[in-house]
Formats: sequence, structure tokens, C-alpha cells
Amino acid sequence: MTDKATNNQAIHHVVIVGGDTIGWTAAMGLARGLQGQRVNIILINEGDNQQCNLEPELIHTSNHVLDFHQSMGVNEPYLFAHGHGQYTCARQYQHWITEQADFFIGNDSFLSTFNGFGIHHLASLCQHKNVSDYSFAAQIAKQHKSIPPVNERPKQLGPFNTGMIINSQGYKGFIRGAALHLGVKVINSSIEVVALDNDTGFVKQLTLTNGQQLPVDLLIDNSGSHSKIMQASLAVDYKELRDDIPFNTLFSITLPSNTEKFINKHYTTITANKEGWLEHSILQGTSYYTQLCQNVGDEEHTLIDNFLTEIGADKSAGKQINKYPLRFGHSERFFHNNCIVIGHAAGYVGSPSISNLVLAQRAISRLLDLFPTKACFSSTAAEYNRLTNNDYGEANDMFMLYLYLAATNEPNSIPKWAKAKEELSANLQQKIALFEHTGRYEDQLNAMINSPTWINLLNYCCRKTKCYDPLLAALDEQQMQLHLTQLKGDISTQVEKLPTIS
Amino acid sequence: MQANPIKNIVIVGGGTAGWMTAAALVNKLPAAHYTITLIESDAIGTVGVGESTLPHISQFNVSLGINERDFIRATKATIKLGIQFKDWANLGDSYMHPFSETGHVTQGIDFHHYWLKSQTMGDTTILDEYSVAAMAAEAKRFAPPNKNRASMLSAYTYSYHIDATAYAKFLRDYSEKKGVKRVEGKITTVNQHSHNGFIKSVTLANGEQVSADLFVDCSGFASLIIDKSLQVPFTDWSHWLPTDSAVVVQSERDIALNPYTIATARSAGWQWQIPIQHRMGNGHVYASQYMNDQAALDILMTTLPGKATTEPRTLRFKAGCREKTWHKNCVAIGLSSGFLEPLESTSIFLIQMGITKLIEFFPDQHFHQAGIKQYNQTMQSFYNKIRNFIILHYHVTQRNDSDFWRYCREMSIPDDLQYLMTLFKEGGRVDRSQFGVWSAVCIGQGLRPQHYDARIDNLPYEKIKLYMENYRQQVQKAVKTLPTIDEYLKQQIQCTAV
Repeated sequence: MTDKATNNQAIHHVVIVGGDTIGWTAAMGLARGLQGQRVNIILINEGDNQQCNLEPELIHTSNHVLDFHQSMGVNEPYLFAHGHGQYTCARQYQHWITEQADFFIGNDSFLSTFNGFGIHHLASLCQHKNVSDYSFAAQIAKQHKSIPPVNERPKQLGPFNTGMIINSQGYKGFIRGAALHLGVKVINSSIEVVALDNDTGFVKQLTLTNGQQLPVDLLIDNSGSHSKIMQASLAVDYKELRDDIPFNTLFSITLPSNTEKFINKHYTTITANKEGWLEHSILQGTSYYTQLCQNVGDEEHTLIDNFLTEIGADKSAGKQINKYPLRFGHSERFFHNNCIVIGHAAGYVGSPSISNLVLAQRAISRLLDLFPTKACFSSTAAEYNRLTNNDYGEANDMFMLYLYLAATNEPNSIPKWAKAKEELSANLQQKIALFEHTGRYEDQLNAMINSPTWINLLNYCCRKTKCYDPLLAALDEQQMQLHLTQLKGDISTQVEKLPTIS
Repeated sequence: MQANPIKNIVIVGGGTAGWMTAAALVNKLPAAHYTITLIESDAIGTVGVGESTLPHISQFNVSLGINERDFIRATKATIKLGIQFKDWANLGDSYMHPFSETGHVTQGIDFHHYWLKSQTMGDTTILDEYSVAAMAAEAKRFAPPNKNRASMLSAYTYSYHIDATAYAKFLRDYSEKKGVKRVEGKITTVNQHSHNGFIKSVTLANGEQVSADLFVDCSGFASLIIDKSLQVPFTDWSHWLPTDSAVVVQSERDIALNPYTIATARSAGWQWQIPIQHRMGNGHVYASQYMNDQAALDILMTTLPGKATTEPRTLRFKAGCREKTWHKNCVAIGLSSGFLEPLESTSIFLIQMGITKLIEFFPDQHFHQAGIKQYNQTMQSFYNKIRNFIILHYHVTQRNDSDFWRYCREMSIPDDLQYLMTLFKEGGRVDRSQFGVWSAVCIGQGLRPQHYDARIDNLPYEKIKLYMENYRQQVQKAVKTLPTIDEYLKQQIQCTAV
């Protein structure tokens, strides 16, 4: 056989390491994308007790989760019937702005326009910084109304997408079932030996603790932030962001939803506090809380006490708290030799606007788009790395914007975040500078995060300046004011008609 | 209200760039708030760039509210479905860069991988046979794309061959009707503010001074403001694109109307044939280092498709672009911002992008740097992508019949182009954010991927063969339902505009 023929051999053995939600997402995605391709996909489930597979009880996602399932042939009704999730249409932000109690950001695909100008330009000119007044999605959330089906959403009020909050265990079961149905094989064991090819450095075989030996053409490493293969065996560095991001731990707890205190809601609440931020969602009668913080160990009990106080829980609930170490940063390379990292092995830069699940789903779609041969050409890997790096850069910028937002508005109460103002990437600095005086953003935004999310957060970051397009000067201000009033009224009328969440 | 809105805009230079800018700005900026003045001199000729255009021009016209039939009549336009490249990979070779994708993505795999696999199995069909635009072009047939996305006839787009001078005149009428003030005169001096170097005014030969807040330099190769006054450096790309001259002539069109541009490679460059309704535009682009003017002229004149109707004219140029196309209160649009030879018909496209982005990042009198930086980055990206795509045509060739082609084959190329070529060469992958249909041009130029997508080997070849044959026949069948290009154009020209 010639070298050329050898290089172009199709991949037959795909091994996925790590059986958490992201691991099973990869299994299902690859099995669906490679259906009919005679590819043998094995998932090594190292067990729920392994550190690498730790994940909070609730995952929040954007509309990408729906798009991903659609591309995999799973339609929305089926996903909602079996996926253990619920629609969301906005996020609520508390205590991020000094003089404002809270604000909402709707899951709008894009903001409505007036004479070609995004509504936020008009709002800024008319000194209405609260753009959520002009977001149908945000108002539905704010008024605790039911989300109308897609075909009943008035288009003139601006299109919006729904995201999902997902019970991770339930969803994992759903996605696992789909993967097994598509022929994925699961082995409950752990890796003992990673054998590399002497010439190429490729992973050629895995030996498991149960004695099994698995041939490997392509390895998907989802073995956690201290990954066993990409970092330990292939010596690819993990670029930590410890100096930039002052958090390393997520506490989580689930409690029965206290209906006297919380009514059901179609949004996640993100509350800035002195430790970091607290997220709260309600799914099927259960309240899910997470607290992001910096845990250096000696004051852990104080952090936990503060967490319980913040959510109004009894101190006895402390035993139910789960602790998840986070390693903010990402792998120097995402595709190296014949190994691809996903999940925490690829990185962690999750924020309320982007979750690791979405990053992983995009990575799987990209892998299918650039699916390699056994030779895993360096050009294919370079292109995969370039595109994935863009996603992680964008997610990181979004995370830093949260810190910047808090630091800009609360510089004294949260001093450690103030440092964020000095740690912004060149891209994010340009985003802020561009928005600051003109309300504009670059024309080629990464589609991973909807533009209204950037606009809303930038708008609050730059709330002391007039962020509107200079060309608005030529329009009639009264007309713009009238348009805003009408739009707000129309949205209010439409929202009123919707039934309240049951 | 914004503290310091721009009020006065001066466009320096007419021609295609000047009048496209004037038309777009006057359409966007209400006359009550903005004064737009265009200064041009009848004594200074225009280059008349861009007889062959890209599909984006339709969006520009639509944004101005211009009716397609009016446009076709006024500019003597014909339809363009792509560019036919002759003798580029090898003498005797030919391929089409069509305004459509080739085939469908199937099972997540780009069509050209299926074609590459079938070639290894002895298939002799050419890639063009799976492109509706390429096949319609060859059959000299055309109708606007079907809006039903399920139709085979929805998967293409189109553009025009135009009389660029007539287009400039058409837009001049449009602009002047909407309030653009045209000033006839030659600029003798550009005056700058002493404290910040911003442009204050221009002085005309008759002594008149015209001041403005924003200047758009559309002065062509002269680059009156961006170069001569602001001295923004020019990045020279002539080592990658060594052609530096063109001889152009118009002729009668004694051959049937082709709905495509013909670009024929010559021993030190290439020659174009662009059909418009009443004549043919012809030009020979060459590298003066490898061919003298007389030899270039002889090649052009002996290969005209009809009798010459104008005197031949020689143009000189240098490939490259300004380090910044927006500096201080001056935006350079058109040839003053840079030059890339017309091989992929990108001149008007670059003008259009310059205007679109100027409106998108339109300044106030603060001229915030972030907006200027974003504009410059975006325009630089357009220039780089097009530059790379054009170099690709020259560099990827098997021609060895002249010093020029040997140089092009062996020259070093930009790193980002090398990256993209390797991506295609190793595994047939393309970066979809690039300019042009890379798979069609790479394969047409003879850059065959070493490996097609190996997943195809997991599919039964008989099934692939059947799928491809069905697709090819569907393309043929669909193209036969289209009217001829002559019939279509006749109907457009004769119909009264609505």
C-alpha cells in the first residue's frame, strides 16, 4: 500500500473518554454525523465519581442547543418531551448596576430596527438605557408569561430565540439513549495505559483497567481539566487564566422551589455579589443555585455560609452543597496528532452567556465539517484549532465583559474585579471603544453569541456615554421618541395577551 | 443630539468610485443635514474601472432604489454568470469560476470530494458540469434564479458586464437630482489644519476654496489627499503580482454574446474579453519586465473579436494598497486606496465595500479612533483576501513556457495564502470565509487535493456514481429550460421600466 493510500484511510475507531453530558453529546453527535460510515464509536465511562466528569446539576444554554439538535435530526418537540429541559427567553441581572435594581437581557436574535438603526441607538439618544423595554423576549420573562410558539411570535416586535435550561443528569440520560440507539458502545472502565506510535506520536491504543485494549484512530479527550491524554500523554499545555479571572470554584445546591418566594420563571437570575455571582433557575419545581467564587480553602466555610444566607437557606442545607473546582483557561491546542479535546479538557470560560455544552456542541459540528482521515493532516488540525480558538477567545471576552461591567459600576465594593479593567484582550478593548461613542459593534461577530447580548452588556458598561450612531443626528428626535413609545406599548400589549406561566 | 455631527462632505474625483460614493451618501444622508460636493475635472480622464462586476452590485443598486431594467439599459449591461479562465493551468486548459457552488453538500461532505473520488475511479466528467451557473454560461442561457430554494435553478447568482463610464454618468444624474453639488475644477492645493494635520479645504485652479469636515479621496491613481497630502504609505505587492501594465481597446462584437467574462492567460499576463450590449471591452494585462508594450499591443490587436473602435490606451499600475485607507478626516475609496488587477472583477466590489463600511462607521467630528481602526481592519481584510485569491491563479500553474510563468510558479507567496493552499492540497478543505469559490479555482488551476474526504470510501461507489450522474443530468435539464441570453436581454431592454 502506498503512503498516499495509507494517509487517506478512513477512520474506523473513534474513542471518546469521559461519560458526562459533553462526552455523550460528542458520542451522539458523531454517531449521527457518521451514520452509515462504518465507524466504530466507543465511549469510556470513567464513572460519575471521577473528578473529570463533575458537572453542575443544571446547564443553561443558548439557542445553539436547539440548532445542534436540529442538525442531528432531533426536533424541538421531541427534545422538550424527553430532554429534561425547559425554554428560557431571557436572563435577569441583579446588583450589577449601582443605581438600578435589575435588568433583563432577552434572547433576541437581533434587535429591531428603525430606519436601519438598531433600537439601542434610539434608546441611547433618548436616554433610555434599559433596552429590555424594547425586547419582546425580555418582557415575556419579566412579566412571567408563557413563551408563545414560534409561529405565534409577532415578527414586527423583533425575532427572538429560546434557550434552554437543562437538568444535566436527565439530559445526559436522553442523549445517552440516543447515542446507544445509534450504535455507540460504552465501556465502564478507566484508562491505564495510553500507547503512542513511536513515529507519529499518535495515540494508537488504550489499555483499560479491566484489561481491554482498544485500537484508536481518533481520540476525543473529555477527561477533565487535567486531561489524561492531551496534557499528560501528548504534553500539550493548558493556558490558565488565573491571573485574569479571580474565580476557581462553583458551589451548587438544589432545593425544592419555595413558591412563596419564587414563582416559576423563564429566565435565569444572575446576581452579582462580593464573592462572584449567584445564578438561580427554576426547573420543574426545583430551584437550582450556583455560586461562583474564589475558594482558597481556609475560608470555605464562610463562603458556604454566605452562599446559604444569600439564597435564604438554613445552614443545615450546607451538607447538600456540591463543590466544583474550575480551571479557567483553555488548551493551547484543541486538535493535536489524532487527539481532540472537548469539555473541561478543552477549557473553561463559561459565563451566563455561554456554557461549556454549547462550546462542545460547536466543536463537534466543526469536527464533522473537517472530519479527518487516519493521518489527521496538520492543515486540518490547524484549521480546527484556528476556528475553535476563535470560539474560546470570544467566550473569554464575554466572561471578561461581565467582570468589566461589575468593575465599571461597582469599583469599590468588588475591588478584585477592578483588575479586570486592565486585563482585557485587544479584541474586547476594541469592542468597548467602538461601542462607547457610537453604539456600534464590529460587523463580523462570532455567531456563537447573539449580538443583542453584546449590545446590552456593552450598553450598561458604557452607560455614561451616548452610544448612538452619529447618523441619527439627521433623524427627527420626536419621531424616534414616538417610535420607542409605540414599540414599548406594542410589546406590552402583546405580552399582556399571553397566559401567565402555570 | 450628538455634539458634533459631520455637515460637509467633499468627494475628490468623479469616475466610478466618486459617483458611486456620491450616490450612496446622498441616498443615506438627508440633504437638510448634509452637504455633499463632488469635485471633478473634465480635463482629467477616468480609468473607467470595472466593466466586469460581481453579484454584490445588485445589492448596491437595490439600496439606491435603482430599477434593474433602468440599470441594464443605461449601462448597456449584459449578464455575467462567472469567469472563464483559458490557458491558466496549462496551454489548452479551460475552466469556469462560476457564481454558484458546484454540486450539493451531501452527508456533510462538500461535493468536490465526491467528484475527486469519482475521478480516481475513472470518471471523466469535469467539475463545471455540476454547476448550474457554469453550464448555463456555456449554453449561453439565463434567467434570474428561481426563488424556490428546492429548485435546481435557485442555486446560483449573477452579475453584469457594464459600460463603467455610463454607470458613472447614470449615478451622476441620480446624485445630482438628489442634491449632490458637482464642482468642475482641477484641485491645485490641499490645505491642512496646522494643529492636527486634518484636511481643511482644497483649492481649485480658479482660486476657489472648498472646505469640508470629511473628504473622500476618489482621485484614482493620483491619490491627491491620501498620498500626496497625508502621505499614508502604500504597501507594495508587486513581487506577488508582477503585472504592472494594461493596454485596453474597445471593439465591435462580431461573436455571439457570452454571459461570462473570458480571461485568457498570455505569456506575460492575461487578456480579457468583456461583452456589453453594443461592443466588446478588451484588455491585455502584462508585466512590463517580461514583455514590452509593442508586443503586448500586438497580442491584443491580433486577437480582437471584432474591429477595433477606439485607439488603444496603455495604463500603468502597481499592485498594493494603502496601509490605512482611512486616515484623519480622509477616506480613500477606489484606486486611491489600492490596486488589484481586474482578474476577478473586484474593482467595483472594493469601491462598494469601501462605501458600505464608510456608512457603517460614519464619523462625527470627533473622528473616534475605534471606528477608523475597525474600518481599516475590515478593508485590509478584503484587500488581503482578494490579493491572495488573485495570486492563487498565477502561482498554481503548470505553465513553464515563459520566464513570467516560471517566476509566478516559483515565487514566495503570503503565509496566509500558503496556509489556505495547504489546507486544500492536503485534504480538499476550504475556509468558507474566503473570497471566491476556492474549490472551483483550485481544481481548475490544477491544484488537486492529495486526499478527498476519506468518509466517502465508506459509501458504496455505485451509489455515489448514480447520485452524481443524476445531479449532472438535473443540471443539464434545468439549463435547457432557460431562455437564451439574447432572448432574456432583448426582453429586458424592450420592457418599459415599472
